[in-house]
Amino acid sequence: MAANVTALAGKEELHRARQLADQVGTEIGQVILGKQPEIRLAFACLLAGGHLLIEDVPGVGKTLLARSLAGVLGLSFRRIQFTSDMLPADIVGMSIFEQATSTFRFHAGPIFSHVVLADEINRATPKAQSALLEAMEEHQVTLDGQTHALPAPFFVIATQNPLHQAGTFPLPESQLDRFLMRIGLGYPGEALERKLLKGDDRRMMLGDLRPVVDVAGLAALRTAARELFLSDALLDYVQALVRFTRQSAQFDLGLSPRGAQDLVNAARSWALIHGHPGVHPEDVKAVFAAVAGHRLRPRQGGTAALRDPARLVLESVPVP
Amino acid sequence: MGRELASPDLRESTHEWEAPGAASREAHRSPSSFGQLAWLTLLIAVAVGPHAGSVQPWVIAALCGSVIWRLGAARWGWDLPGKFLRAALTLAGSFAVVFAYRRISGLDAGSALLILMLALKLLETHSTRDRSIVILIAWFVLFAGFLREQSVASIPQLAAGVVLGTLALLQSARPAGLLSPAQAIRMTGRLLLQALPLALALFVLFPRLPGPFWALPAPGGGGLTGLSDQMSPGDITELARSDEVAFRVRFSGPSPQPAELYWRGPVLERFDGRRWRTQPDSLREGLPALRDYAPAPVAGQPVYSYEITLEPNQQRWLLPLETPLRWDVPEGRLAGTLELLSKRPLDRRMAWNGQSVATGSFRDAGPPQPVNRDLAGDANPRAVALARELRRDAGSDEDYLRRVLRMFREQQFFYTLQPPALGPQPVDDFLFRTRAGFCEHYASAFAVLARAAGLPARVVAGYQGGARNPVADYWIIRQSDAHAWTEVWLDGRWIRYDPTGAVAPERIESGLDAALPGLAGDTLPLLGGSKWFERMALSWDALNATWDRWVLAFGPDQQSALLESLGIQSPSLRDVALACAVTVSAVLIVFTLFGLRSGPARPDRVEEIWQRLCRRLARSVRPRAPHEGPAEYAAAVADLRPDLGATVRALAAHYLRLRYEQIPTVADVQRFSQMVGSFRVPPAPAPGSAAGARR
Repeated sequence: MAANVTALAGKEELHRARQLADQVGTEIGQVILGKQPEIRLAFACLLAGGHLLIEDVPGVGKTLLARSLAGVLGLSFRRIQFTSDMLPADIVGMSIFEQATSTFRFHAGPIFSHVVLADEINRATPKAQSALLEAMEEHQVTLDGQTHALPAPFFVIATQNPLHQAGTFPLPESQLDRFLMRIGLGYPGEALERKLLKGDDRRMMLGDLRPVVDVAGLAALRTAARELFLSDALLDYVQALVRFTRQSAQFDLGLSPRGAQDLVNAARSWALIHGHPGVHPEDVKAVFAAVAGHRLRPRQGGTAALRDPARLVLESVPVP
Repeated sequence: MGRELASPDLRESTHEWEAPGAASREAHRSPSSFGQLAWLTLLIAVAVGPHAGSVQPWVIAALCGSVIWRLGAARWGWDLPGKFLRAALTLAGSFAVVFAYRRISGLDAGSALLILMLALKLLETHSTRDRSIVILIAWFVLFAGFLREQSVASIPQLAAGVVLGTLALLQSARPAGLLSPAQAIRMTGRLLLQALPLALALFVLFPRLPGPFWALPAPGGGGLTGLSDQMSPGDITELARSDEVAFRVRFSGPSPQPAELYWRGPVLERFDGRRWRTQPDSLREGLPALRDYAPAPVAGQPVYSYEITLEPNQQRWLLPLETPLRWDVPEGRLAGTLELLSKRPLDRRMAWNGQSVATGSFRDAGPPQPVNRDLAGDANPRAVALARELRRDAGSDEDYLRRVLRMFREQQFFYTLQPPALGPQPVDDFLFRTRAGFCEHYASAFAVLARAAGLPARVVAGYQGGARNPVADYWIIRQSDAHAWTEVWLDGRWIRYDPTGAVAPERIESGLDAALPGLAGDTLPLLGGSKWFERMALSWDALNATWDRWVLAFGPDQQSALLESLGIQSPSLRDVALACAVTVSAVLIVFTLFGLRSGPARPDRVEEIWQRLCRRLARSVRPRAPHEGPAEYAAAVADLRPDLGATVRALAAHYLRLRYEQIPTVADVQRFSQMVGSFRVPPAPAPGSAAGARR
């Protein structure tokens, strides 16, 4: 059943967006147990047109999340396992000479897909990484002077393993900034884990997922999110947050202007899928940790380094 | 009202219209969608409807072709005509109109031209501006329909046109997507409601030009029924079959008995043996009526005041109640024959006020003239002989006339709408052979008999009786009430004799239907007997009469009267214009004030109210941490005091709505302030509960 969301900001449209988000949550929730906030963040990230970085240990369901998101949204899906011997051509594709026609023909790489799972991105060399990151930024691939547009929507979910850093190339801050959100998945709770153990193979269940929206509906939702009302009060709040990260002694590096923009965009998507006609401060707070967490560099020895820096910011800045 | 103005979607839409730069450039490029064209088509159908029967069929065919072409282009991508073809079509259309109508102006040719140009412009709708032009032409065509039909019946069509026109404008200005029909209708309703006060002010106060603006001369001048300046046997019979309204009368104060209702029209004095005619104008009008021609109203004899609204009939008789004392028609004058004549033929509906006494006798300007005794040579010899014989037996002139009436009453005379044909001596034929006739036969015969006995006599045509409309208390006089009676000069006065009353007294007392049941004016035999239908018909007529009286008849005189009642003495056109400007400005100022109320509120005002709520909750529940958002704080309060949960959540949601979801209006903020103001924190419900313990 593909929902069709055309116009925006009307009561019915908001209601539909919220329903859709709920449907996405329930569908994926059947496969991934007890990760509703993360599922919603991932969905909001996609709606905001950004890319998602999942940082967690292997086996917590990163791939599953990516696959089920693609399945539920009716999008094509490819997985790229990053390795240290990977070349950019392995990602974007290459031109191959064809004997029959005596011409070069472009063979699209795995990146030509709606949802791309870049697994263990920190295992590849910076050269291969940058091929992916450029494609993420430009939404197109240029090879031999020819430009190939990537499908829309184009959504990259990259994963990296925070531990076992030996032989890896961690993404520098400048590259991290290109991900709209970074989330972790974490271990399931005791009860859920029991359920997980008793239940079917999660991978088998992927086939049961039904798409709840089509590409056109998704595009309409993204338009709706972009046109959500932003009050002056809210912008005051966002600026206060950004100002704090830049001025506070707790941080070496605050939020960039792009970070601030991303924060607003993510908050808009979050507001849309929660049925708010305008962005609430709570919407900003809900996405703040995911949007800002990987862009802030706490000063060594400060309290921010010890605990969750995003939370420190939120608790220090009054809501207007 | 303020709320209405404040509606966000309305503001959105006006915004779209206002933006001069980018938006209009955007709109310029917007091609017409099928939906927008469908609305246009609907509007065109309603606007052109009233003209469809009057303009030549090829014009309508051209319009239909153009509509189909345009819709086909939108739906199936047909090619639209290019610039040169359009220019050629335009020229061809103009020539076709000139060729077909032999002119380019006037109602029929003009509306044909307008409809053709509408059809051609429709082929050229590529932008919002083009669509607006089509819509404006359609409005014009719609109101041109008013030149054809101004009755109440045209209101639904006009209203539909106005609503559709507004709808089409709204839809046409939306490049992105159509409004849903419900949304569009709501918005249209609001726009029209807001326009209503202005429209009313302009209707009442916009300076009115004297003279017939709406009343174009009726095409051809034919087809009008009514009395004329001559009468031969069968003329009034013909008239009596018509159900058309001749005029309406509203009495203020007492109204006369039906038998007293003689509406005086042409006075027919010249007789040629068969036909009765009026005297030439110079003879009639050269002789003004005596000042004291009517007997002074005796004590106890009521003077009837009435307002009479005449339908256009291309004649000059103003048809007063007999005998008129006063009339307020500036160009009306009373001739020596006691005919009240207007200067010009009535080519449009006209209303005047008069006063009359209901008497059947009065003095004339002068003694009767030879023409009143003329028997047209030796015409109708048997009648003349009969008259002389009867007169010899009678004791006096009055006795003689009584005998004649008795003859009509007691011998085998019949009152019928289907009189047999009469030979070359019509009065003889009627009196001695057919003995069946309508009022004109009796009036004519009676006048001849009177003249034959040496008494000056004449026939008066007019209307007698009428139907009282109980719904709105006025009288409807139809062509079927047309009547003819006789006046005889006795003792220095003209005395009315109505021989029809001798034959068919019901006709005089209760009207034609009573006298000739099933024969007269029975145009709807199936429904004729239904009381319900009769009542509906009367209500409908009352509605039409009200509409005529208060809306259509509203002209410069009524406007002046209105202003005089407001204290402006003998207002000039300038005064009217000034009053109009002042009123319209006042309406606009009121709108602006409402608009201000629904305009954006001071941004910090909402927050002040929220802080007030937070302080109150801080005292009795727990203070809000500065970094807590409204929803978070409400949730925290609800945790501590579940009894307050719903209210506080609602208030927080309201605050979020005002502060973060829209630009609040002054009225919104006032309501929020009241909500917070009336919020009281009751003491904790149970001392043992968790919330109570915390306190």
